[in-house]
Amino acid sequence: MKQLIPVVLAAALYAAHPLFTGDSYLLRILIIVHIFAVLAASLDIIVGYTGQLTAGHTAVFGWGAFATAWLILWFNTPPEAAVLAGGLVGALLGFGVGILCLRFKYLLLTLVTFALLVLSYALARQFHEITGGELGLHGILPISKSAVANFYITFGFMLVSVSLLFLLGRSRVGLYMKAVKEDEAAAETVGIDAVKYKVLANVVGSTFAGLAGGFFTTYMTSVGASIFFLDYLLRLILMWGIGGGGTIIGPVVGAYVVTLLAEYLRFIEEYRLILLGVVLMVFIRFMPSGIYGTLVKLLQPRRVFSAGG
Amino acid sequence: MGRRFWLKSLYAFSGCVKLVKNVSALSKTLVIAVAVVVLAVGAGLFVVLGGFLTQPAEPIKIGVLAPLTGPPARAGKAMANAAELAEADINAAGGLLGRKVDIIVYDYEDKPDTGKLVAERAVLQDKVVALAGIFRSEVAMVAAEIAADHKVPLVVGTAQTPALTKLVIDNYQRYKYVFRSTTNATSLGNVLTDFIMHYLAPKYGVKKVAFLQEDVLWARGLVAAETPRLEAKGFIVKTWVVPLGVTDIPELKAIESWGADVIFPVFSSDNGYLVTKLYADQKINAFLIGVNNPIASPEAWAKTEGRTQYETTAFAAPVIKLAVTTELVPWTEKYIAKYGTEALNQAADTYEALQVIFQAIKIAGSTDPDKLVKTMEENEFQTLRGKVKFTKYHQHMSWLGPPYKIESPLGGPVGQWQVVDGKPQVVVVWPQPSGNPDNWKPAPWVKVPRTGG
Amino acid sequence: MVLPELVDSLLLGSIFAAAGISLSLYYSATGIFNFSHGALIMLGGYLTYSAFTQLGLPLPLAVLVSVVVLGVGNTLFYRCLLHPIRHHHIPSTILTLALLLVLERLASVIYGPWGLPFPTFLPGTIEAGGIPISIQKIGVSVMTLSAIGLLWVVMNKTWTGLGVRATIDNMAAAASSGINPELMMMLGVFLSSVVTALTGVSIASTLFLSPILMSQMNMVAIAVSILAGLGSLWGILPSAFILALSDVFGATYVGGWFRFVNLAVAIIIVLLLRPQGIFGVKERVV
Repeated sequence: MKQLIPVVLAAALYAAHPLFTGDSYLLRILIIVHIFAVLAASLDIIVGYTGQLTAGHTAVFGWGAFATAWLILWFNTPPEAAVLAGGLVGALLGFGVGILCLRFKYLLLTLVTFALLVLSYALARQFHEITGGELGLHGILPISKSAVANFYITFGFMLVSVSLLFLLGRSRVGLYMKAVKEDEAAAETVGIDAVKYKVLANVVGSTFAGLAGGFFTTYMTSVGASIFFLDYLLRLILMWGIGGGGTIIGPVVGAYVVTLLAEYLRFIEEYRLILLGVVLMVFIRFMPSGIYGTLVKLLQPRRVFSAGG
Repeated sequence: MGRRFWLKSLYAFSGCVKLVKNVSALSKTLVIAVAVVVLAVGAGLFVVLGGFLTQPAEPIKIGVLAPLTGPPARAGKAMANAAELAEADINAAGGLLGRKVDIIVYDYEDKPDTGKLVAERAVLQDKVVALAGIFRSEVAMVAAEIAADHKVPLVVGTAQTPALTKLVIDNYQRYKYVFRSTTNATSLGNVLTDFIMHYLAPKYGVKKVAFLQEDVLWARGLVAAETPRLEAKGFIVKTWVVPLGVTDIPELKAIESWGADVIFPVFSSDNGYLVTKLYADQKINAFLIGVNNPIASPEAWAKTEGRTQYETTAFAAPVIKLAVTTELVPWTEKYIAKYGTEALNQAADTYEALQVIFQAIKIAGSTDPDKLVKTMEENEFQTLRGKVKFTKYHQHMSWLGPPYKIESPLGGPVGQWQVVDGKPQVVVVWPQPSGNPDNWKPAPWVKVPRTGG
Repeated sequence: MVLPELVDSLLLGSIFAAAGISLSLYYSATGIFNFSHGALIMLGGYLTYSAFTQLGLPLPLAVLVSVVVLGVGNTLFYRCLLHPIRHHHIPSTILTLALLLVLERLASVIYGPWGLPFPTFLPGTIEAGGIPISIQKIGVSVMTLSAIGLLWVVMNKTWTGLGVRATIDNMAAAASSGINPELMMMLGVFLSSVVTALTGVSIASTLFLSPILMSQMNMVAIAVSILAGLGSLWGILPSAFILALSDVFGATYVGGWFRFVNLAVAIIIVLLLRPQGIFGVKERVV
């Protein structure tokens, strides 16, 4: 366990820094990063582990957010419980998408989930009595009004979620999921039930996406149809691709890098996204393991291959 | 504080590097990830602290929130231009309270979470004394929360949702920092329906009015407000809704089949060009009178190749250089000279919001938020298109009429492009007396009189 | 009083067809579904615009410039970036999504985020059965249908086209008959890009140029291809007209929200009920 000391130390430093700097702009950015980190990590369990490229992850995020908002606004649910409900909605939607995954593979899956995202936006715009339409719903009670408290709440959420996802990824279940991604037919022949693992990945990933949606809306105190904009999906993909998929930790790193980079590059306002898009293209083509994956590879101790293997 | 913090992290980092050589892959990779994160956060802190270290905040900073990316970007750019112009003008006049004025424009990318983030950046990092601008109502609502949380006066120049004023009504103590220097959405279309009701109907026998609106909030508000007005006077009204991002507008033909006498477009996106084009090319048998933002600009004649002469719309006073005040036309010419494009309505909105803030700071003699709030409640402010005066719930009283800034979709009158002495120009037809309705010409293919008369 | 809607659908359908067929050809030739197709379409329009405003070229030359630039550029992009990863669905899809993002932002930055109207090259209208139809729209339809027709000729009557088709049908067999599959794929991309550029010019002429239209044209192209069935090139024509008809009639008789969702709903319904589309071939598994 001595090996984990530097990790714990770094995490402690990070967690403690608001006590020195108090409420600051950086804090606000980090709160958003925490939420998107969970979103990216939960996407990874679906895309990076079982190889299903669903374009509907932000739709789950959005509906989780709306569910939380409705509970708080109309049923006077305490925000904490409402967020959990967001996770439940996520799980249900994940199950639905999981079923879809069984029917569609690869491209068709991406297309159908993409169409569902577009449809979600249209529905949210259309039924403005319940979604606020273009204006959205405002006045949602936050879990806490203090930014520092929100930092810790979302940080805790991120720690717990990412740890759970990471452990899942490292477990036998994760191994089976990756086997399904590599070669579904081959996996089936060794007795891995592809159906079970694909649906499981979707349910687990979507639960966290729904929770993230709940935290997002209680922090923002508002939610609107704009949450289904394609921008969020593209941002998520940027984080996943640049961080490095298939590792859970990679997309978390991606969330930090993409968000912070976008902030620092504000002086080239309009060119930021172009730059990030090009970076993503370069990574995907030449460094598909992303920042995290590439670093891992570089620091791997050299293996000596012997005939005995 | 800063130095010890840095030393601690450096020490921790070097400790990590030493251990890295001896640990298993698992911890190593976690350490790397954590290191990357710590580096990123550290760099972030550096930027933030760097901001603190370059004291003092001598210039007075004011933030303008505008959508520089996304569908409303054209308006957003206009708002940013106006902000730049306002900064130059106020500094040329000696600044405020003996200090230079620094106006910072923030791009909220047409998204509310970005809106929240940039508003927080303005307030927490750049320490602005006031905020102005905002096109999208959803973002205005979000910004109102920031203004209330951090006690920073916000003067909304463009967003028109009544929900904003309701915040102030319901909870004055919290939201007293929120002001709106533009109209409140409920009577935007009056000037146009007045023209239809008081001139067109008696002269041409107009009975059926069809709204062709874009699927956006303000358009819905306008239609909802004007429909009862028309129906009360015996007109038959029907509404067609067109989503954004369409590639064709077959609704025009459907409206023609319905037998409309007037087609009332409510468009602010570029699809307005399409309405004009299809109307003229298909020679739709009805009058086209309404709100069509893209064509209410000096470039419209060229961009529609003259087709815009067949429609009538409300023009922004700055765009057609209508001298509602002595200040407006010179300002418009200065804007055009500097930016090479017409001065959009939103540019004037933003400039005026800033004018209110400037004058409030001058009168109050300070940038203290509560003093500013009180000053804005108790005074009138001279702006580009008239005087601004706030109700006790901080809504500009646009219904007062001149010399106060008036309400109409674009702050201006109803007009039509016509060729006068060989040159295309906008002829104002309504309201009287500055407008002469007898100058109005219906499109040549429209059958007159209408059978409703 | 259904004639005006039919005429409208015909004109709109020819543009939908061009958008769909270029996407379908790209997919058939390479196995990659290009999510940036809508952006490439508008890029064709933007390039033409630049060619005649900045270089002062007459329209036909401007269109030619756009076709060549888009064709070469897209083919190079494919060869360098996509071809090596074409068997990996996730990275190749993400790459095309990244391209969509970059092109949309670039267009906003270079040309402005607002709509740029194209001049009317064929002014005036003609009366057909009492309905005025703009000559420009007719010209555009003629151009796109001719382009599709030319594509048919190339694919069916030339050795090159035969090569491309052979590679699509059975790459191993084609390779063993001495055809260079890589070259054929690039050719497929090039041909697709030619039609893509022309689609862009059509959209620009009947509507206007705008980065916002990139996503809309994407949806159109995707819906048309899915309805026809992935892998079916010629099923595109009837599918395009079906979708155009539904758009026009929906707008006229149903109302705003229908237009908003009809493409997304069409995609979902087709995929759920009959994933291979109306004329579809078996799904090409990457």
